[in-house]
Amino acid sequence: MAEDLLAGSGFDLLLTLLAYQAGLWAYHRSGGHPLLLPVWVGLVLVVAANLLLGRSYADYAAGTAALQALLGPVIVALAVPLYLHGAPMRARAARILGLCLLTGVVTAGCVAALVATLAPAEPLLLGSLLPKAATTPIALELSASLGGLPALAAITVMLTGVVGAMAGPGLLARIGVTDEAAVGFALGVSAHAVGTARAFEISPRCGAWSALGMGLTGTLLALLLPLLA
Amino acid sequence: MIEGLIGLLAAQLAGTLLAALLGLPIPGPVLGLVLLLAYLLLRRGPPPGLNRAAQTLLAYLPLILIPPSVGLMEHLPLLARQALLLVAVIVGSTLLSLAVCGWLGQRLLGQHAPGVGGEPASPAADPDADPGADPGANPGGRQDG
Repeated sequence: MAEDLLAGSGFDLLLTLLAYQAGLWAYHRSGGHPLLLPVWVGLVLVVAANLLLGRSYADYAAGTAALQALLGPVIVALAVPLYLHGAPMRARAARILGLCLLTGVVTAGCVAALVATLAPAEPLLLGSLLPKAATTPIALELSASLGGLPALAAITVMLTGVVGAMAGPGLLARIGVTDEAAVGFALGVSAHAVGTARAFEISPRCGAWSALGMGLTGTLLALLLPLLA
Repeated sequence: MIEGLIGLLAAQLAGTLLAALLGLPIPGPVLGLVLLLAYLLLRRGPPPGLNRAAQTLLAYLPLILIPPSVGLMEHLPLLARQALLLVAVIVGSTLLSLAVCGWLGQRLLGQHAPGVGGEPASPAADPDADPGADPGANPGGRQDG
């Protein structure tokens, strides 16, 4: 698109905020259904609007540069809840770190095996799906260095969160995982922010373990995956 | 708030420069996260301005995630072609991760886990714990959910 009439008009930011606000409204009206998370509704509305208006992603991205500039600082900001939840658990640091690393690597390995078997000719998919055990903002950054599509990585992690938060508590109960620390930790490591929100509904202790597992796994994978891949 | 944002941006810059200097393929903001975490561990807690800036930004995390995710609109054919695979990979690996982590977590982190006993909330079970860092002093938990 050579001429972008809306460049510099604030249109893209306005569209994004309106779509997000609509998402918040739908989420609260539904009583907090995980399929109506504000980020989903907002995303679908923005994509639909761009397609209808014939706007390219490049134009939209240029118009939302202000929001995109916050992605880096928000990743750094994850250190604060990580510290607050992690400091009281320091005596168990070794087994906590080991558990995060093992689960993250098992998940990435499972993804790699499935993609390599089912779609060996799609290298973009592998790079986008490998970081799915990391929390969304970290997975976004990570997929770029792994040769994937950041957008697909983000969607994958969000869907992972929805699946994990919906199926997690039932599955864990069935295999005899009853301790709130273990339930929270598994939800955070496997289902990220959506799982952590679910864990906080179970109890604050469950939620704290979830936030810790989410932050640590994302960080460890981001340090490890680029060196392995 | 501004002090906190300065701290976050400084950590991001330091992380990005460090990754470039060492030739590491690790994303700069992630190294920034690690540097900030090291600082918090040394300082035994976040300064109030940093705490406020971090919690405010994290409260808007879903909004911040929308623009990069919209990039998906350029790859709708790939998505349609591989929809089944995506669903299989997402569901399969998530359930596996839940089972592995939950099963091991029950044995390693639970209240009846061998070795390190008890809840970290009790001072006796956690001699390293910062006296100011008991869960009662940890109200900052909700904003990342």
